[in-house]
Amino acid sequence: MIKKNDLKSPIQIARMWRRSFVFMLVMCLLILALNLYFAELHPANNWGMGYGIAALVFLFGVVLWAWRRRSLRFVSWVGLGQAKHWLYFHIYGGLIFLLLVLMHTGFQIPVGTLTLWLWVISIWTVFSGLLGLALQRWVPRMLASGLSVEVLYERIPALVNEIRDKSETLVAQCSLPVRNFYRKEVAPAMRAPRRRFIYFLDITGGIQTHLKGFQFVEGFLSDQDKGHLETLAELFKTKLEMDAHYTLQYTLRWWSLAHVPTSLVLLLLVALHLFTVFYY
Amino acid sequence: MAKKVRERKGTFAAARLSVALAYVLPRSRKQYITYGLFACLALILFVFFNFFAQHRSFLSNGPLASAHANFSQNCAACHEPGLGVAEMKCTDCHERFGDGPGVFSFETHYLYRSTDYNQVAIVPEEKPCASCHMEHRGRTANLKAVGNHRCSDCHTFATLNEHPNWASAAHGDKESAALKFPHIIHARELMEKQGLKKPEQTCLFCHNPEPDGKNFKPLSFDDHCDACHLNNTSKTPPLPIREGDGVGVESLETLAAHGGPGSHWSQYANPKEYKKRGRNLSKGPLHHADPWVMENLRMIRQHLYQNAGLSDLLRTTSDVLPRHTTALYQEAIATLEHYALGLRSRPEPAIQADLARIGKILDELRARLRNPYAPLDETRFLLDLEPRQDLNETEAVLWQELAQDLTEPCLQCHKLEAATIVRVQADQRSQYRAEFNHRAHILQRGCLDCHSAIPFGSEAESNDQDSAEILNLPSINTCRECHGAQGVSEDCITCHAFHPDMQRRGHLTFKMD
Repeated sequence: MIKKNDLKSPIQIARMWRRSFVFMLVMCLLILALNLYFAELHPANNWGMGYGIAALVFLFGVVLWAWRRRSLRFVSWVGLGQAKHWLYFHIYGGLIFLLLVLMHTGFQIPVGTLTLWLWVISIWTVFSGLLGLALQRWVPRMLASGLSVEVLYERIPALVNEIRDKSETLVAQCSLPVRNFYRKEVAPAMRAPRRRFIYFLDITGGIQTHLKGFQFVEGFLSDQDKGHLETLAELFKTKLEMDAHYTLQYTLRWWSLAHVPTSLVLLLLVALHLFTVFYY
Repeated sequence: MAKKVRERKGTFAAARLSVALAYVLPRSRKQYITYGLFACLALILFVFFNFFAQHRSFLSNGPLASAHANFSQNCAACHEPGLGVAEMKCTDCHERFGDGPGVFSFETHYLYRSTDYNQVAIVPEEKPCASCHMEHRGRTANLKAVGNHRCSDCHTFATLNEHPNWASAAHGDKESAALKFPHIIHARELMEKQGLKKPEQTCLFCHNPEPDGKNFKPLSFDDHCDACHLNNTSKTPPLPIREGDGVGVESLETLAAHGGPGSHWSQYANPKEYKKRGRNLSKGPLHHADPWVMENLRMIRQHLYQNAGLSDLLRTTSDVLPRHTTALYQEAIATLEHYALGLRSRPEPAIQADLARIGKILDELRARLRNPYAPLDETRFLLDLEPRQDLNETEAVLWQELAQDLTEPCLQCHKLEAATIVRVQADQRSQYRAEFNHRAHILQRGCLDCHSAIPFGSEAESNDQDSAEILNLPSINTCRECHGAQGVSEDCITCHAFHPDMQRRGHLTFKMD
């Protein structure tokens, strides 16, 4: 059965969520303005407690997405809507959660140890999530635009070994100048995949600069060696592009290390905070 | 047929690398959950350790103010599990045991500001101490700094712009005054005598600031008027001496012979001040609150009115603001003690009976004053204006005229009502619900900048424009010129105190001011 939502394009759905987020943002700011007019910004007064409760509700909704991802069978059996909606709520809800936390603390740095940790972890978690979102948008685009190869991250070490073996086999058939050139200029880079920061700034990582050495040597070689050198250059270029993949895909895989554990700590800190509020 | 090698990115183009033999799946990220759980476990262990060994410092919302720093490691000193900060935890230290409603209660707030017992009622907006005096904001936090919104929870205004005008201004620009006092004449004379250039410089000659500079000492004839008024030339006109039941004043000798309560001043009076000419008597010089004049006025009232009651214990009428009822009781007590002093040495049974009666009244009045929660009733000192039944109209008129003649020099400044000098409010303070500090303001504004109702220096200076009836008090608009508009604080606590002065703990409610 075709559901109503299926008729909307991804752009329309994204627009719908964006508008909802803007609406929520405006509502929060309006309420903040009212608060400032009638009372002070303080976590312990009715307004502050309201912000805290609202932040808790949003946090609960945000956390549910993580549960949904890990309960696909149950979710599909019950029918809890499409994952993209949950993801949008996770993103925009997290931002609203952060705004509510800041309103709850009165836009001041808390002085208590627990509350300070909670404040810092909240900001860290939300911003690490935004960082991940940005990386997930930017990295694939970069990799697809500037490189000629596509490779799975997990295969890169094995493929680099293969490239190195092929290169050495090829170089063994070449003349002394080629062998010397390979030993000095190419072999060190072929040892293992390398991550370099330059790939964040320039996806090609100066590949053309590295290949200029090959053009220089070519002038001194016979026609047969020139052919081998060309093949070697291709292998070297492939290896460098794999380095780019190795660098950028690494961030895609490991950014969630900054986000997921801290989100669990955040939940624990929220629970402790609730305990202190109600107990004391 | 040769296998065609398709040119695909999946075979890495010219490099022709091998294709994976099996599906390559990304590494599971469950390890992130594991890391998170380990971090949570470490945090839980730390919290337990902190809870039991480090006095729960981790859970605290922040350091306590320095006044409470000793309780940092004892949460139970203020917090009740599940109940937050109970009010009794604050009163355990901040109130004296057995102090009734206490200094810091809402009942005391209602009473001490309004002096109206009818306003003592539980209001839904009442809050515990901790909701206004918020803790856990650091060692240097000022617990007394309470925001305006706390006051506006009960009061309908939160800014000075919305604040209603003073109660004193609500009476209009004139009030009934018991004194005939033109400011301008007095100021001009002082300026001439003292060689002063500005009228403002004369203010402090009479309006003497209290040591703290906030308000001014009560006005006093002896301090402020005696230098010029009632000099050696002041005297009464000739007054008929009373003979039998006739209308007339009683001479010094007659009063001394009576020996009644309060007559022993006559033992020390200077007989040369009393001049008899035939059947008339005049006294001069007169003293302020001259006892001979007061005694004769009392006698005149006794002839005019049925029952003077406790009004006889006062030198003047009993018109006072409700806050000043204490002064009436104190004056009455002083009068009675004066009576008792004069009678103690007299052994006569009738005098001893009088003494006993005086003692009884004294005890009752003192008990009333001592009890901070007993309302004081100024009506007890009202003169009952029911005329005597045995008094005819002619006699009544004669007595009234005698009273006028007797007090002729007094009436230069005072007013007479029902044969009684009308009480002058000596206390210069007009605001009781706010704390106004004159010293803090006098450095920035002159007296006449705010108290501008008296037309000094204007072309309209005249007795009509200048009298004691003029309510020379600024309205709230004068305050708004600086407070708020110029950035000067307009917080409620700048002028108002929620709790009464702790120094007067034992004298609460309207007996404090």
